[in-house]
Amino acid sequence: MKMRTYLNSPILKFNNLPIFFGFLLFLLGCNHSENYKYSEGVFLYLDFLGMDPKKDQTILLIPYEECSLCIEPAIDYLKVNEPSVDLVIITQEFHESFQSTENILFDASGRFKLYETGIFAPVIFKIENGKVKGLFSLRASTRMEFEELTEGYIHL
Amino acid sequence: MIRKVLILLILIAGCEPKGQDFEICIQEKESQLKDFYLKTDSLGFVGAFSFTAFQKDQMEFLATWNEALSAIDIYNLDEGSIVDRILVDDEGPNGISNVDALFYDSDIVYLMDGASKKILKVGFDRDIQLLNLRNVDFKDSRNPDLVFFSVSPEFGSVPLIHDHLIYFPVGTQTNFESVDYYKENVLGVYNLQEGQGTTSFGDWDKGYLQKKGYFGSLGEVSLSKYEEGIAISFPISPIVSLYNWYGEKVKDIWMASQAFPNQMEGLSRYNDDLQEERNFLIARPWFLKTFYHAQKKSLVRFEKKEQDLKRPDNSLNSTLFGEWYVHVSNNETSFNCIDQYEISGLEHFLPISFPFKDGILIKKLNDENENLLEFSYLEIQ
Repeated sequence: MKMRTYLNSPILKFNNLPIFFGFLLFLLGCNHSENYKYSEGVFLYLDFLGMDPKKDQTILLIPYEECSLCIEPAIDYLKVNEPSVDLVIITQEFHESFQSTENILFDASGRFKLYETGIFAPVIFKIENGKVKGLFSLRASTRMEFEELTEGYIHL
Repeated sequence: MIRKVLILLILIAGCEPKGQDFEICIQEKESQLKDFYLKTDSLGFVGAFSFTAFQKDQMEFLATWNEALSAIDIYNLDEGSIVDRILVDDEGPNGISNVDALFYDSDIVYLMDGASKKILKVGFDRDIQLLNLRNVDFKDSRNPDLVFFSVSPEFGSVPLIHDHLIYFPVGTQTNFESVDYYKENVLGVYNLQEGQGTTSFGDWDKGYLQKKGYFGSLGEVSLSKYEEGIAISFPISPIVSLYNWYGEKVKDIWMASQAFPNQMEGLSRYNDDLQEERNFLIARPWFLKTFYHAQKKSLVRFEKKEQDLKRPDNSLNSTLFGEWYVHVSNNETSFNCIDQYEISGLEHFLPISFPFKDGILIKKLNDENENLLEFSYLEIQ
């Protein structure tokens, strides 16, 4: 009975799942919120892409060559969703019909792995006050799982 | 007084030789590279690691797995051209869906799928037979269900065949970051005639059993034949261990530059930082693979030179495309002497390399002509 009551609590209702996952991500991501170890490599890569590395923004980065299996849920997600982030970077030219390609940057140079970014799976992170903050790995096995993790982070 | 005695003791301890003593003589040789071309057709492909070089009727051949066509492409190296293509089903009773490695014996090319523990025997006469090696018992302490075939051709971690016995690189299904993973033997032996496993042998290098013994992708064993048996080596160790065909250790030999550390320190176990692993591969020296040149009766081994982690523009250096040594150790010197060549990984793809005539062929990085595969021929003097 107690369990049932617990499951029906408002915070676990489906509509609130992003908030729930966001909260989890917040807890898990605390350690990464400041001084990301490989910030310099991330900034160098953004600079290489011609982006302003110090501009405040939220970035979803999908390193295609690093983990071909774990990018699939990310690509599937982008086919049907338009994530509320400022920039999506895919480190490969991609000919898929995405929901929107307006804020997607395709980097076909193959140079991503030349930067010491510490990124080996899809990640989402913020740049605030010239620092990489809250970098979170979006390792998911399905599109739904990827969506929950991403939306959870965005709605945090 | 006590302090002086202690200092003396420390000095004496410091003078002890580290590890085993080896008689080593290293001779630097000049690398003489010549261009070598292999004619193919537009469907030919030598981009994967799955290949085997062999001799037949006093001619030299290369068999490669053509994944796009699900076929074995056979090249006559003496003529420099493709001579045959054997199509193979990718499913069904005589098919194989994935090929990790090839090996050759007596007009048969064996295709191996390590994950599903299957071997497809493909005869030059087109006779095809599928061998299922699930639950093979190598008569050791391991549960056969927990043994897997850890085939990784880029590190020379491939099956070998000799006198109806197949020698496999084997691993145990446990966390490869743990010390336990490195306690069992590294090679399993399967008898083709009897259709069963016979034994396992070969120790992991002691480096893997250190507290800091995790080396990421450098945890592979390299196998090579030599005249009297099997040579085993590891990417992190200067030692090559020689075993006879029955799995008894004959001796250890030093096959490395003089600067290579006796004992490499690894990364912290249970390390989640993949960047540290990559940095390790970039900056530290390690060995790619060891293989045997039957004609020269020599073992050949690639050693990557130490290099800076980053370039002047702060981008990372490459794991594979740096500067390398090629060590050649001859049986006639009881493998005590090494001829040392230098080669640039910038122009070559070292994982695709194999013996040919009096030297070795190494695949070049650029294929400008789709009907021509480009190699460098390094002559062993």
